[in-house]
Amino acid sequence: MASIYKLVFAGPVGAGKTTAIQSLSDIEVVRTEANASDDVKTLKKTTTVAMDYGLMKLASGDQVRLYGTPGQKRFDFMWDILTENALGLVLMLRGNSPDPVADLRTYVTEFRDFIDRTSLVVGITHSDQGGWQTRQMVSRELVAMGLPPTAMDTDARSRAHMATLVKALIYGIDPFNNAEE
Amino acid sequence: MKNILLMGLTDHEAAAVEIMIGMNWRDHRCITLKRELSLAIPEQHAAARSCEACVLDLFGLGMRKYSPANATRLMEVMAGRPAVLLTWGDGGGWLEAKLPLAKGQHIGWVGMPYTSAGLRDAIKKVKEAAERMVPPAAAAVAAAPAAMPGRARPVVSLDVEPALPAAVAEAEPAAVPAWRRAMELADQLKRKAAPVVSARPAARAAVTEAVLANPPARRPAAPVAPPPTPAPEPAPMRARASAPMPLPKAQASSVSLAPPATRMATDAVGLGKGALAALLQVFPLLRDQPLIGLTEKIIGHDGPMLLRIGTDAAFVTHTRAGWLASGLPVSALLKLLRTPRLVESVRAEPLDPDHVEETVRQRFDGKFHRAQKPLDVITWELVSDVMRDMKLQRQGDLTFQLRRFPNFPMLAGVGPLDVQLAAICARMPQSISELLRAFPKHEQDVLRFVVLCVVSGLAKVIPGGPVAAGAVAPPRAAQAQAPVAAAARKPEVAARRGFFKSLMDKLF
Repeated sequence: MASIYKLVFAGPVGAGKTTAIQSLSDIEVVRTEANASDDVKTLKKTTTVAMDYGLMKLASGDQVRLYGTPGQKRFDFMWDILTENALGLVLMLRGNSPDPVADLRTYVTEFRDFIDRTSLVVGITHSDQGGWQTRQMVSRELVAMGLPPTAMDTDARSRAHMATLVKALIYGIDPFNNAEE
Repeated sequence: MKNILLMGLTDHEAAAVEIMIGMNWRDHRCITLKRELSLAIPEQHAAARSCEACVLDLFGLGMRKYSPANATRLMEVMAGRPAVLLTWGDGGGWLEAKLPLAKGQHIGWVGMPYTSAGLRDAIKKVKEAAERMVPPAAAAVAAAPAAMPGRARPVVSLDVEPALPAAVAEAEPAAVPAWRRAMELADQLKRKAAPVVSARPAARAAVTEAVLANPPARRPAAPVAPPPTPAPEPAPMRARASAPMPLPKAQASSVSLAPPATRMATDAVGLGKGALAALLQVFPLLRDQPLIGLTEKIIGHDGPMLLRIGTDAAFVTHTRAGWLASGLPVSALLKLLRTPRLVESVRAEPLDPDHVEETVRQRFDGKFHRAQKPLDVITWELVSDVMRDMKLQRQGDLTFQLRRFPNFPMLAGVGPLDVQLAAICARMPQSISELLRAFPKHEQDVLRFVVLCVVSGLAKVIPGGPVAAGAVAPPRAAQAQAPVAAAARKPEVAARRGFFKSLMDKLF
């Protein structure tokens, strides 16, 4: 019987969540975007307010539904809804933000229970503008928070990059899958 | 069922607020009046007028700034009801204004952008105020005419308190008018026949249920968009929540099959502190490679170094900081360093740490940070190339753990096993023996992975682990696998593993 699974994409405004979902989705992403008219306007013309939705259809008939959480803190109550029974969290961080490590802390703290039950992978976008050190700093912080340092530079527009992130996430859930006993 | 009126908000903001209200007060439902393009005040229909409280975005109602006229219009919209008022910027003068509130009418000012908690608290207070006011206010509200241009109620004097709404409330009978009772009955009947209507409860699972059950082809988020056909009454939360993923509750509480993450051992050592030496003890033939020899030389210094090739090319490395500065793009750099003779001819000169920035700027067009490239990626690529046709033979064992994940998206020639091994070794220390025991058919791939991780500085070696030739590693991987293997025998876990395989097939 075909089953349905969920993956959640979170991260600050402009980190590339919508693009990441679009890269992986077999359908055109349903974007619930609206004109940004508050403090995020300087970052992006539009921003995700409710959520994004994409879908991966597998040969087995199973489906993976991809949900992007709203980037703005004021919609953080949506995060609980979207993470319910999800497999794991893909956290997208902007490498060129003023303090990506602070962003990491914020999101890991908010999602910590969920992460502990599932798995986390961090994709760092715009790292060409933000410097190579971001990945190091993020990895160090993940280790300091008692989490595996699963952080990689990524281009959210690249399906291959995003697929690598999801693979790492899945192996984080089940590291010894297919290992011989 | 109690109603809250949302007015002046964007569709998506209204959707989010509706969901929030549904999550927190399940006996409440929202009536949303869409923001007009002209930012005019929309006409309130009967259902809107029957709401006990409001959430109003003043900007969306064309009242961003305070003025006596706007205050009058606002009072008409609220019609004596408690309200959360969303303001913009510095408040537009509203916060300083003295509004002629009705008796018991509570106003909660919330500045944009707000926090979830801030808005929730404000709605809670307004809701409580509404409960205290019912039934008189409700009756007054129900009887109040819609706020329409030309049909405005008598202007309220802003200087007089209590103001008109309270007076109206007192003057008008508390009994619910017949027309309203009829409307409520009609609403009830409609709800029974078609529970999901535009003003349906925005329960928490409305999003997940509606979206999950009907993957929206081009439809925006389900919360505000009424489905074209009636949907079933929302089921209890847990039942609905578990619907998307066919796992029992116990499984749903913890999806991971991974052993708990282990913190890096405090005595674990990096490249400069003995990790490379430990690696070369296990793989002594690697010393024959010029690149490994150069790496040893660079690491032996532990500080910044200037590397010269011939008369023109030069790089600066800083192993401890993890960068290599070059005027060349990474691809050109890799091409250059893939020539063994060139690598052998590299002359390494230690640099004074105080002058490293100056040296880098001098050599690379005034750039410092922009000239730096991640040393782990470059080393991984170079050493990977060196080992391409090499059969690795180990003479011993070592235990290590990843402190950074390989930057796979930027690396060429990595396969699924590399990602899997990284996921394991990022989570807990592993010895080579353990990994080989877990993946016996992939000996060379496992050994290659170990070498690349250590030599790139991604892994720390744990000194207490077995390093001597012939040492037998504790079966940590096997131990970790044991409960996993037992768990895998459960049908639901086996099904999930089938799903993982299917997903991996699609991704690779």
